[in-house]
Amino acid sequence: MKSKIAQLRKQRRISQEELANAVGVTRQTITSLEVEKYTASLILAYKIAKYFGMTIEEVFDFSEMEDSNGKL
Amino acid sequence: MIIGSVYCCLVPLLAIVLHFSVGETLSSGFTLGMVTGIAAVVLFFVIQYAHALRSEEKIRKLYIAETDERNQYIQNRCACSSILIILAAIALATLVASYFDRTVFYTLLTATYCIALIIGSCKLYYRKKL
Repeated sequence: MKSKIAQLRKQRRISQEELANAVGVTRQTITSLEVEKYTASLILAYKIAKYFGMTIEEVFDFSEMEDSNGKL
Repeated sequence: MIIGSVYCCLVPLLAIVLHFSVGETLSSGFTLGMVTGIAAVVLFFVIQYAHALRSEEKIRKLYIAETDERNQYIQNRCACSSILIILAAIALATLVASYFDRTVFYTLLTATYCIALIIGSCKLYYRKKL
């Protein structure tokens, strides 16, 4: 799943290690999320969104799951 | 950690005593090897945890590594794939053994059924639990 984690992190000059420690996962998990190899659980998505002060939809892109009418 | 330390000290010692008191048989040798192997693994974890207990930062890192959701996901996927590969391999070995040795054939057949039964039981358990 696409996300804006890398972009948000770079904007705020936060390292992967710092973000990982803040949300309670390993740095490898953050890397996997950024390269779209792993999809975060709802709890992790919430923690990451909260860390950046945003909503889950603002951080993670759910458009791939929607059809052309915007339905899931 | 205390249980681990006790295991590392006592059980290999008992296995050594057993090995030399019974005499060097295949089963006593195997028991000694297995117990020593387990003791080595337990010792590794005891040292790791003892080391981590010295600093708050190390405990936190260890906790994150243990509870990390990607690591848990990898473990789950690994366990699922491994058990199916093992089941297929034993089933194949059972088939091959049926042409050569009756005892080996029945042993492998029992192992295949046991693994299949355990997989089925676990699936039923988790379907009800989750």
